[in-house]
Amino acid sequence: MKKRLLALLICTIMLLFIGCGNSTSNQQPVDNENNAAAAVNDWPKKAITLTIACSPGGDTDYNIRTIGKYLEEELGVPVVSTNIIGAGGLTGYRHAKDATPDGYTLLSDHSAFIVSKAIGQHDFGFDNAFELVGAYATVPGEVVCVNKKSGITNMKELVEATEKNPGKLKIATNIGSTTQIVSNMIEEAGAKVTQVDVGGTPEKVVALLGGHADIISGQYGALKQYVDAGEMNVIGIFEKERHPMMPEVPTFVEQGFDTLVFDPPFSHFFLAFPKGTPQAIVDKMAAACEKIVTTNKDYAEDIKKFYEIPTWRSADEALEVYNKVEERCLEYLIK
Amino acid sequence: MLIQGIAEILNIECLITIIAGVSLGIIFGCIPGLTAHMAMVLCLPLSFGMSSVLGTTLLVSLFIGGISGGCIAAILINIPGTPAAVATCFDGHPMAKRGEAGKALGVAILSSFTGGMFSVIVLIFLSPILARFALKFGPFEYAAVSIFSLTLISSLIGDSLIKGLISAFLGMGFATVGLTPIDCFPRMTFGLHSLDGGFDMVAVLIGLYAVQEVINAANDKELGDTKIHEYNMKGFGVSLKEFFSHSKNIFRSSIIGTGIGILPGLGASVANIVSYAAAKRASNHPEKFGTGILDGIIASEVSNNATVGGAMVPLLSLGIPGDGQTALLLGALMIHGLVPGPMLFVNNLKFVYNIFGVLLIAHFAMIILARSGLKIFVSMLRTPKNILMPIVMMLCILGAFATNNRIFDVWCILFFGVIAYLFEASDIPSPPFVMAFILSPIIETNLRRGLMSSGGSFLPFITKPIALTFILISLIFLFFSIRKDIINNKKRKLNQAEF
Repeated sequence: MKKRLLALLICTIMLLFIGCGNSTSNQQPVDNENNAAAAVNDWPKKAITLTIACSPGGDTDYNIRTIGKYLEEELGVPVVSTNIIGAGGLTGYRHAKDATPDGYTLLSDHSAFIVSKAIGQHDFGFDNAFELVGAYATVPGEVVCVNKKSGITNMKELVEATEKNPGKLKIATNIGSTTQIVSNMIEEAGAKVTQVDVGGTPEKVVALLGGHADIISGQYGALKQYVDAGEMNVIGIFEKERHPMMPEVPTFVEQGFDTLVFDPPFSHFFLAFPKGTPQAIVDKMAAACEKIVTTNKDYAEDIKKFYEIPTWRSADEALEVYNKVEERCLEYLIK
Repeated sequence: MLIQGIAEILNIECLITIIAGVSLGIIFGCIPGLTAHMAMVLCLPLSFGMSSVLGTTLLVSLFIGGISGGCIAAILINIPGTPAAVATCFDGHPMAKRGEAGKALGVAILSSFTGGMFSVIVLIFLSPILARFALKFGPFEYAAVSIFSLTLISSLIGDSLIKGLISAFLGMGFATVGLTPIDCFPRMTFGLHSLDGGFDMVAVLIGLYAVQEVINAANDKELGDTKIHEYNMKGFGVSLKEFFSHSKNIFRSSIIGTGIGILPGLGASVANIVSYAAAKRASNHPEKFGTGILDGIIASEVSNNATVGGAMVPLLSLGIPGDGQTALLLGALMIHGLVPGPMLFVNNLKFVYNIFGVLLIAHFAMIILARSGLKIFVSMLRTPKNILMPIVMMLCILGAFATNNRIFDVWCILFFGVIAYLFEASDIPSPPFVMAFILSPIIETNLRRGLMSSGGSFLPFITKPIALTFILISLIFLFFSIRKDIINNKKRKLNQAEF
């Protein structure tokens, strides 16, 4: 009885594993040219998996899900957003890279993908691991805020304050992310601050409000309410000119700090297929995405909620931007 | 204001949403492998299409239902339905084995309700003050609290110190797998990229408790012969007088749960074990813990529900999500144009009171729904194990996969199931493993962050009052447990000498 039960149990487990295994591997092998051509012409005929490398609920997740929702309308097949998280996004990138390049697995992420490549977490680029479809949205407004109690209201005062007490003021950083670049740039610009790692945006807010850090950086959308509530002073934005969505925030450039600018803006959302996906499919996807980004007003309205702006860049244009972003990372992260 | 807030949500639409949300939450909670978080993720897109109040109502109800439902599987089949109910197994299942499943469930439901209500009341009246206090917790304070919680392991170790330590160190060891916090250097991954993210907590818990239980059942000669006393249960199987004779325990567990809930980054999965360990330590009959007494169930179930209100404190007053569930809530609120934080109380005070109302009503809905479903839950025990366990196994595999959409996590549960089986075979307790696995990454990350800000100095552990307090309590605890151990050993030797 005992043995039989155990055998039954093992069989159940095995069957389930086989069942689960099939669903990821039984995508049709594209072995001869006729089949391949047919597969390209037919595309899309079944659900497309949109891999998201961060946890559900945040702004990145929301923005990617939203493009997924509109792609579903545009392409006429379900677009299933799947969060695969872990190792700071690496697990998701790897999952998408290793997927069958048949046009039914997509990765979407933003410049964090480039930052983690620049610091050497992975070596996946748009040349060796992914086929870039294009970039569809930008996030403007990387700002720097200081604790209200410090009395500092602009970049000049910040530099002066740190010159009196070098290393006393702490800037919150998040090693291996855009924040670290911002912190390094602030330091390069002459502010003698100590960098302390605190984590992501919510942790940065805690650190500033709780007095564990004196300076933080982040998206203005996430920090605006604390500025409004009189908890923080915003001292500058990494833009060339004042941004129309946040005209009250002065740029660093107008304060005389020419190096403190992201031009083009730093964060861009992209779509990419695994390397080897037929070009015709990439083009079809790019056309669908471009149409949504450039013409769909509902989409623009939807992503505005997180201060994101629909901006279409074709694969070549996007690549140029990402190369600049990578250059900047290498310039400020690795010395 | 509060009454108005409640009155506004007392409409059919809202009530139906609450009932649906809480029921679905309980179902997700009681199925091993499916968690409150997963239920919320699934319903998140649904909430986008609803009004802001209704959408939030749905998510909050799922949260409460999910955390409460975890006790059902824990008591009936010794498998925690969610990570928040691990400690409920320790005393809940022995009671069920004695045929007192109904009573255990009744107490668990009543405890969940009490803990939840306590934390919601704290949330309503003390939220701004507590949120400000929580801000004082920097990296050193977090490290100190976590070290303090680790010392509580000593009360879960059982008879053999060595075996307890083996379990705790293994837990710590497995927690180090993956990319290091802060500088992201791969550690113990053996070049396997699937291990880059480390082991997922849900997968580890499913493996340790659920898979192991299934293997045990397969080992068992008897099939589905768990005793069920035929009885007509009235109320919750326990008189209010008996329940409130545990008022000290209830109060302590409520405070622990709410406190841990308020601190971002900890959460219900830490709270239930810490609270259980604290109750055992404070009890004057600690040896009875684990044999099926109400104290253990109360400690665990009060505290895990108390984290709900606690977690809402920093979310609503500072806009800071403390765990995965509140991060989802934050996202959902922002989509409706409501930004939690200091400005929410200024701009949308009415909405805040609506949420308070939902939290209160959802707890009432939970206690009513769970109580009315109690008979059905208990009758689950009548299902023969050779039918029940394969179903459980299947749900666990489903749950492990759904955690991160990877087959790798499914292999993890099998791996940890085997580890748990070996643990049991060699009489090594698993609670120290779980606690060390959950706490050591928190200690590591915060210690490194702290040292980064202090320039490598450990001094802030002594100069920061909150950190110092927790370090001192840890030392006192350690001192007393070592002393107790020595006294017990002497007694044992004396006893042996007499024989």
